[in-house]
Amino acid sequence: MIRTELKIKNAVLYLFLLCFAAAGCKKFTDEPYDDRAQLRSADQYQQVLVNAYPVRHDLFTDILTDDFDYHAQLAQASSVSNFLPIFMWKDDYPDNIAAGPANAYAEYYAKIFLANLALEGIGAATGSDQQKAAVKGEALLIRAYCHFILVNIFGQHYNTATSGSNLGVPLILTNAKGNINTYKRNSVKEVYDQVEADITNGLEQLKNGGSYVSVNPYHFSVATGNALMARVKLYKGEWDQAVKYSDAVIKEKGYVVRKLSEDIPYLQSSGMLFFATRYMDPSSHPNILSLSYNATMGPLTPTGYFICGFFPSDSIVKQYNAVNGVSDLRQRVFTSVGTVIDVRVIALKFATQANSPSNTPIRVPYFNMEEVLLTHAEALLRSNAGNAVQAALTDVEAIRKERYLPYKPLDAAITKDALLNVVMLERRKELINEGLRWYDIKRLNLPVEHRLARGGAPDDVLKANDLRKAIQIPRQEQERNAPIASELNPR
Amino acid sequence: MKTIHKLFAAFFIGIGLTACVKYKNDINLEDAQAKQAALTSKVRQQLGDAPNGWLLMVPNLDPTIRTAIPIVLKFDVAKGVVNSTSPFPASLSSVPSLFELSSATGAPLLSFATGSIFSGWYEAGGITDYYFKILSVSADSISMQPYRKGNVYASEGGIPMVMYRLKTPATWFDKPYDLKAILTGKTAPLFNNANNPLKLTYKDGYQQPAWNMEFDGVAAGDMAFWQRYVPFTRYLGMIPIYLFSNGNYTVPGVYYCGNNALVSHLDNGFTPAPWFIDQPKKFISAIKTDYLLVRNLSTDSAKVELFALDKYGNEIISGTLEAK
Amino acid sequence: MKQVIKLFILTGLVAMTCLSCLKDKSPAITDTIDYFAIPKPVNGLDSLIDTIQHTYGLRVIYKFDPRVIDPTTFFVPASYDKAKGYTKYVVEKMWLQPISIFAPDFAKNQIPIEFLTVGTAIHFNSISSGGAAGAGLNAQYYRLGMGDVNSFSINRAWIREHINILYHEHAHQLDHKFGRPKGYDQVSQGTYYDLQFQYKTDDQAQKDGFFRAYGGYQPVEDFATTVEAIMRFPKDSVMKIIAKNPKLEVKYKMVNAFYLSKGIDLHMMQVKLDSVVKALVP
Repeated sequence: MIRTELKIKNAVLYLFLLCFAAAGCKKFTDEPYDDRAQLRSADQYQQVLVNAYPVRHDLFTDILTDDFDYHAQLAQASSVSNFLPIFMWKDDYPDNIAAGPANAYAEYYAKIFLANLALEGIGAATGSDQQKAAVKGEALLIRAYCHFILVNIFGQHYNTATSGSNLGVPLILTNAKGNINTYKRNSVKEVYDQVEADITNGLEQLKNGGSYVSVNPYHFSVATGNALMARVKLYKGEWDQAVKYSDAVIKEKGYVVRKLSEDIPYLQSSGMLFFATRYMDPSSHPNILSLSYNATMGPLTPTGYFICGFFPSDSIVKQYNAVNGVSDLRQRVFTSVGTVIDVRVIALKFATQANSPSNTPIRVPYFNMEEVLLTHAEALLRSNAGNAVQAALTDVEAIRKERYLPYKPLDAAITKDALLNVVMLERRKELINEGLRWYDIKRLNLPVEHRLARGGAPDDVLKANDLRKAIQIPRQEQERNAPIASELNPR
Repeated sequence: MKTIHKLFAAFFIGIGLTACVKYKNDINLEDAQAKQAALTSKVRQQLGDAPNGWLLMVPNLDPTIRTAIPIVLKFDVAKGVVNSTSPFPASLSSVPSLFELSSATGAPLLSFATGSIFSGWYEAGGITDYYFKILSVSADSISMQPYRKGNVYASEGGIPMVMYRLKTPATWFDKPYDLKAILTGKTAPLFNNANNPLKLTYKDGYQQPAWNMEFDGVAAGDMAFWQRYVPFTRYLGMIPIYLFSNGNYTVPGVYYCGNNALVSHLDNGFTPAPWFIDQPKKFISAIKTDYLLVRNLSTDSAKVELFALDKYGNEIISGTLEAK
Repeated sequence: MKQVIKLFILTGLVAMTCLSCLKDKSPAITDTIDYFAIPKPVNGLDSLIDTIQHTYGLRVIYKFDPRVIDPTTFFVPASYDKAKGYTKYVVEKMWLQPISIFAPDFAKNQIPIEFLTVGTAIHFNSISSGGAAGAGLNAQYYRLGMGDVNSFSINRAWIREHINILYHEHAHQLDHKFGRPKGYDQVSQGTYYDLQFQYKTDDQAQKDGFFRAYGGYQPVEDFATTVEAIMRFPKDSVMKIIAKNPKLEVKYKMVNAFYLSKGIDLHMMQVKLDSVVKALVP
């Protein structure tokens, strides 16, 4: 009896002490257990966004297109196992490799998380309204860009008739707080609608951002917002709108085009490696509206170095050949790789691109003026605008003038259709290896033939309306996000 | 207790000392070498032990074509020389072809080691390698497989094929004919006649509807190109002619004459593709064979008797090509 | 004391046990696998090859067996008669013999130990990979291979030209082995034609600083075609060519010095080969 009493007494004592101790912790758990910074000011949120810019992990899509051939003789063994399934449009592509759909999926959603983080916290943060507007605008554009790339990789292309029911990607507008979060896919239309809303809203905010809006080319600006919207509208087939937004960029920046003739001398004076490293240098190239930086060549692994395995296709390479004594300066951007028997080249646009892709930082544009001008021209020619040919000629000639030697303007009496053909070819030639061709293949309903051996019969053909144009949701995502496994792209 | 400890120590020492003995026995290279030598010698003996030679049917590489071209091989194992008779004139060359047998990498390999019918055929894209893995050897047959599939990205091993020991001497290729002159000579009935039906009867009784054939020769200037650049002509000696089928004068097919054989060959190295691939393919799938051997020729050269063989060397197709 | 002795003996035994296995870790291979056995000569070419190997240390391989199999390149053996003629005329009389007499150091140190007589060209991807094909095999130090042997004929011009190509392919090997002379790649940096070399004439190329249009492809071919040119043309012709562009002079001097340092005077060899071929094919 005495012992029991003693036990109860003790228990009461312990309980009291425990309550006291637990209450004492309340404040303590409010503090971070390590020295991490607390996001409290608009300044800090602006710094969060520095890390919210996605690596161009959609560059791998180039090997899905007619711009690239496979060349076994110049394929590092890892390239074969990693990228050949992607080249052949297989659903069971590998993940955990340097580039590919799995990386893209992870990367763009990781950046959406950071954009959302800023959007959720900026309201309560300290700082001026102007600064907050700048943060908000930038975050919205990043979120729009990431959703836009995701839906174009993993969904069917936007189609007015069917996009309401076509599977898009999950829209993430608030960061989930649960331990295990699952997501359902939104329709292509819902994603496009949200992307447009985010851009419109983002542009509005940036306009209120005053001097807080970054002029650093590694950040999005009003011009890139407009360029993004022009691309969205082009992909939707809303030509007048595409003209309107690309026009806004041209009004702000002018007809600024890369002066290739000023780049090329560096090949001779400083060599190929210097030329390549400088090619995407924004300070000497005002045509680059915004660009991403990546510490390794990872995203460019399938197409970017001497034994990568995938090289500009014979069909596109010959387009750069001189015609009637007029040479295309862009031919100098390519350098031969392998032996003379291989007859292969790579485009030197991003980095030194030596034999080892691991330690080479790359810079890849999100948007440049050439794309904007060609979007403007194409949309004009596809629209019912009255002066379409004349206005489109101005766009195209701005580029042609800096590309062909000797330069000779196109016939001013050129027909609309003929000029559209010129525009489409220039788009392909100008933007090669910049990760944009795949979206053109999708929106223009182009078929693609892929061969394992040059000159042979195609080993697979991607038809115009092929369902494989929507890349399958990565296996890792299927495993982690159970509901999506029942919403896979149909085959 | 102490004794047990001692016993333990003795036990472990015992294990230690004997443990290595087995290891040494595991790798007995003398056995492996002897095994290889025996294997090679057995294959060599088998190859040589065929007075009438071996019949090898080489299947067409196009999976839609289910037919094979016969080649008779005689191995002189003492000299390491292999002689061939085949529909290809290159078989008549007096330059010896040497073969090599090796079993150093496990499976015995038979290599047609110097320029031969096989290297020529390989160049022409008709076979995927000129050395073969020997898969099995029985009293009357040897099955083997080209070492490679022919493309750098393809996995190892081509289409397996079987050589059968011939019981009687093969005389199929013995009589040479000037088939180019017979089909395209200025005075040849088969050239001057527009209606030359090919009528074939198959072993199962099936009769192929007559296929009307008209021929034209390749111009002398083009012949030089063929002899220099087209491997099927350059290395196998096949003479190209043009075949117009069933009144189609717009698209000819390239057809080839040997000494005593008419052969269709698909060549994707040259254009236009309808001439080099599509038309020959159509013809092959209609008559179910890519070659026809000549048995006899009428004295006026107006009628050619033709036949084809199965894998054992028995006739399965026979028929005529006649100027009418 | 007893314990100490026991312990001593026990330790000794254990040590012996452990050590006794050491030798056996590398298996007792007393005899080599004669995988690359040199067979007894069975024909005239075999005997010629044995003689050449005995004299110059290079073995001609005309029979293609598993040793020559390379899954990624596609080529065929030459026919017996062509391989025999080529081995005698080109390999022995035009290449090894003059080199061993007039450039003994070069012969001793820089000649590969194996030589393949390849019937046609060297193809990549597949045997029928079209017109783009290699003239020779030069990717390994120890083995050189020359293609087009099936075209061999006892013809002075053919033999003389083929030896130029042989020196070209061998130059690639020396390039792999030693690297091009320092600064060589910078001479024409940024002016290489890349694949556009196909559309240039040799004359234009010389004005642009390359001995041949093909040399304008990339530095590797620039180096090899420079060697080829020195072997093809008499010295005064080479001097006339290098006068067309100062870059040519720089590159010529580098290549000449490179070869001299390896023990061979290419100009002298060019003269000797002209007279050897005249004696061979009068």
